[in-house]
Amino acid sequence: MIESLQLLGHGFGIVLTFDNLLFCLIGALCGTLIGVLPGLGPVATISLLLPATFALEPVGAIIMLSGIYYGAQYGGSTTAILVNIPGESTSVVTAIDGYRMAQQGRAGEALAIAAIGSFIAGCIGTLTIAFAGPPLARVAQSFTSPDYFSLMVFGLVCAVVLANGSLFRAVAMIVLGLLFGMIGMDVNTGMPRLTGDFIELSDGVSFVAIALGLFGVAEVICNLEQDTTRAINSAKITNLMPSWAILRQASGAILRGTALGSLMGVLPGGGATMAAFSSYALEKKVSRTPSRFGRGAIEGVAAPESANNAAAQTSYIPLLTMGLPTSATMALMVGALTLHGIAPGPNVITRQPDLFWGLIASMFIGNLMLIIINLPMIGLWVRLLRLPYRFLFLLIVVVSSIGVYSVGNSVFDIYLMIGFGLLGYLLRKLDAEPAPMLMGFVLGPMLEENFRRSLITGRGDLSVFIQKPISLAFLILSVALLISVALPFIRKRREEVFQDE
Amino acid sequence: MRIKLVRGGVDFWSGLLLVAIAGAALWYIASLDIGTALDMGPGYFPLLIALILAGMGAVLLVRGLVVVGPPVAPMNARAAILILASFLAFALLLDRLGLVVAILAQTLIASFASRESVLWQSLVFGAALAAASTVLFVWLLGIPVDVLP
Repeated sequence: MIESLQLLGHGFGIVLTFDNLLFCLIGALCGTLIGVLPGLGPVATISLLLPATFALEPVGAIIMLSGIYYGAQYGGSTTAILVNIPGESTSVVTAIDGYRMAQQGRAGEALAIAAIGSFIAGCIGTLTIAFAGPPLARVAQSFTSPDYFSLMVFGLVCAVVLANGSLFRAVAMIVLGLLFGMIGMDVNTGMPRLTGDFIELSDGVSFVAIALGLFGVAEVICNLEQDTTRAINSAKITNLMPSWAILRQASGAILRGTALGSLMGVLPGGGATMAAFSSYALEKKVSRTPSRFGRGAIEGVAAPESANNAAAQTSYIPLLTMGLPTSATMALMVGALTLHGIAPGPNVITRQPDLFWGLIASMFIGNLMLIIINLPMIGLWVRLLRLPYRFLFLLIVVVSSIGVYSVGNSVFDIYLMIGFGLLGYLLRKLDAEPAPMLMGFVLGPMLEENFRRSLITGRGDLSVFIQKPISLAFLILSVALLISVALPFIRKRREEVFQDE
Repeated sequence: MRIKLVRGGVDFWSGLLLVAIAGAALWYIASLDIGTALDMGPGYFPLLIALILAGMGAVLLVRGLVVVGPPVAPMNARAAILILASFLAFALLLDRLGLVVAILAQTLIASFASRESVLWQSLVFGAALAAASTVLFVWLLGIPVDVLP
């Protein structure tokens, strides 16, 4: 406990340099910007900016990219409240009561509570990483290859179970991602695999090309199919300082949302979106007057906004302690760390203390910056919302082209992105989510590596996975989870969570 | 009533897509050394994955033929083709005519993908993007591309 606080102090020492503060601010600003703008999510933005961080120190790069992710959680609520369109998928439920409040002339109140809730949740979520991270990493250090293999299987199963839509399709998407992850040189023999005689593929499919294709390009096409003009609530925003009565009314929801969000963030596949949905459902259940929900209840804004920000922070725990990404964004962070020569896993905390504690300290500072960026400067973001999509999408396509090119200064990566853009578009039309595919892609090589090592230690016998107690536990959990989802009772509940409102 | 061969469009087509990708992968894997469980060759794990994918694709495909399910949502081929073509134009022109021409060509083609576009506005915006990209990406971040032909 004391040691953690000391190390946290060390982390603040790292962040409080001009460069790192600047990267933190850039990340927070970019995050708010893309959070406010619908049609541009953190996954696409982080992959766009990833090439630009090559020149930076790893700590600065990760601080900036992380800022984008939690910054987007703040920005998303602004659009949800003022325009009734979620700026981010994590703010879908915020729009329900938030927009109603804006219509009643209480937009300032809703925005303020959303920002304050996010701030409190962000700080508590970050503290959770600081205290839960090191002990968890110590546990993970004792894991052997079979344990890791089963842990990843468990992670992927969780991701599937909590994903929206058909279970079978989600599993198929993961397998598809695993297959794309196999492309490139075989680590053990140096043989090129599945490269189809393209020398450019011998290092594997460019991570940025696949992420931008699936999330950037495909999303632009889907957005262009819909009507993109939006009506902005132009009423003047007042009352950005909420009264004590409102704060007291929202405080319970903020704390419950934070607790639930922190928990959901750690679960693979849980993530910020699920956290927001579940916390809204929870508030409705514990409220003495559930009928107020949907008509401008402040709890309906406070809880999901706190939950999504708490989850955005705690989703770093499995990543930094076990190397396990729990969402598409965290999968991108694995890619970012790898590109900077850091292998995500239980050794990050001990071998890269500057990165771990610096990142945590930057989250406190980033959250502080964000509440300033989002409250007094709200007018600026509202004006940005007026940027029509017919300009925004041109910006996205041009920056995507340059971004994917600059990773390896190769036009080939643009062709790859076109291919994955088409695939992503078709998959969306075919009701298949691209997020599990990206997770499969990132985990593929690690999964294979641990599978091979396990079978070597187990002398070619698959039973090695059930002989190790930790591995066995993860496998039993995975199977139990899959069976439970197939059971009609839970299946019905799961559909309810997604179809609520 | 006419009896349709494909009853669940979404299932059928996604199954077909997965089977096709798995098939292509298997064709490449065929030339790799598979090895044994104790001494795995480069093809062992990919083969396993590709077979699982083919199996899952086949299940979806058959289900689309047998079980009535949702049809595929209508597609807007115009937006998809124009956006993808705009990237292609950028890729083809970048090495030959430089960044500015590539960006102008991309914004021109892409602007036709949106029904709300106003051509002259898109072109002005494209010119602004070209100028900003030159300053930011070439001068400040040092990406090695030619700016002009």
